[in-house]
Amino acid sequence: MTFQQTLRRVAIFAFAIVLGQTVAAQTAQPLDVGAALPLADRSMQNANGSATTFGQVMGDQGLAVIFWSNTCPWVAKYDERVRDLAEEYEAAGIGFVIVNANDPGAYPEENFATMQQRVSSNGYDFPYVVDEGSEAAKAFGASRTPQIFLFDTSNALVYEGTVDDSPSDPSGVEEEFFRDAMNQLIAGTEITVQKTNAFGCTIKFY
Amino acid sequence: MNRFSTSPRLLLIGMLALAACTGQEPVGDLVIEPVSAEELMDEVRAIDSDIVVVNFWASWCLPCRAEFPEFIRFSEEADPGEAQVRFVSIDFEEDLPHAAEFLREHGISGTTFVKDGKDGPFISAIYSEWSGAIPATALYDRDGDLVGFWEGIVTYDQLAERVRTVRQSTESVSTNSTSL
Repeated sequence: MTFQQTLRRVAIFAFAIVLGQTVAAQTAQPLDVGAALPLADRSMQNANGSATTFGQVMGDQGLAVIFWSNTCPWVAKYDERVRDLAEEYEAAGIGFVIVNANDPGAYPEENFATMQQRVSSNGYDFPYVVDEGSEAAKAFGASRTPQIFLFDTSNALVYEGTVDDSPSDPSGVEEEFFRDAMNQLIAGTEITVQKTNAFGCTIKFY
Repeated sequence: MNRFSTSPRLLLIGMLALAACTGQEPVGDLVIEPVSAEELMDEVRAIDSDIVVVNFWASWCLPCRAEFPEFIRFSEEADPGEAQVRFVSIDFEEDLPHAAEFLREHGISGTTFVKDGKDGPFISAIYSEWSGAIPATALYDRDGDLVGFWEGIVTYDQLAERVRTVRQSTESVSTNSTSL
């Protein structure tokens, strides 16, 4: 990990002055909008047995990298919605890849065999890759699952965040942040909402 | 008021019934009260303590479950005038019975909280730099101002040290402000 990446993750208990009060904060800081796609050429093991890179998954219109988990309830809530979005937007030129950065040594159900089972049982038709050492998660500043990083074809980040505003109930969705960002990316218009917050499971770093 | 408004009562009844069936004694009344970020801050400001520790957790979150006893130990050992702990569950509505069971197993009674409303606005209202990952913990001073925040698991010793450090710094700020 580079010094900058280390700073980004704020691995130490850092202090910042906010409105005259001392706030001791330790939070992950994801890539800023406009940042370059990290580790574009790093080879990662795909659950289907092949190997791939982010660069290879990049589509004609962009790339969606989504940090994922075999066990996280929020991932389970979004599983069908992400599969539907992938089917729809891969056809429109956006490549999809889901990334498991969790340490299976500490959390056995995050292992490769279970990833393969998920691909089979859930019908993922996009790569589900292992992030050995959580290197991609660290480089992206990812901290939770699911967490989306959407890049344009120049490898610049255009959106980071969540799928929509209603994880527990698809019928309660009022804002489809991810879909809107992809539509705007494809249309070549401004991404109106570039970052969103959402609850998720912590990535269990190696 | 909110979509979980009837859940606490049902939850309490269900827990008492469970205790009766298993021969266990109920551990007092337990109510899981839905709170918005604004309502949570009202609760925090009403607490008479130098530092209020708010831990955001969920019943299925393994790191949250792992650190939970550390917070209980801290709560039991801290001087209530110096630090108090509150828990806010992020469980989905269907998981609240699991949350209640976990709380009961750890001897929690009385009122505890579950997040209410949309995630994004709640997260931003608590702390704009919070990614949304849990477990997460916020520290508030006596005025309800946020003075500490972190994502991830902590031990008792780490928690005690962070509270001590922040408490000292807020005392310093208070002293400096008084002298100006």
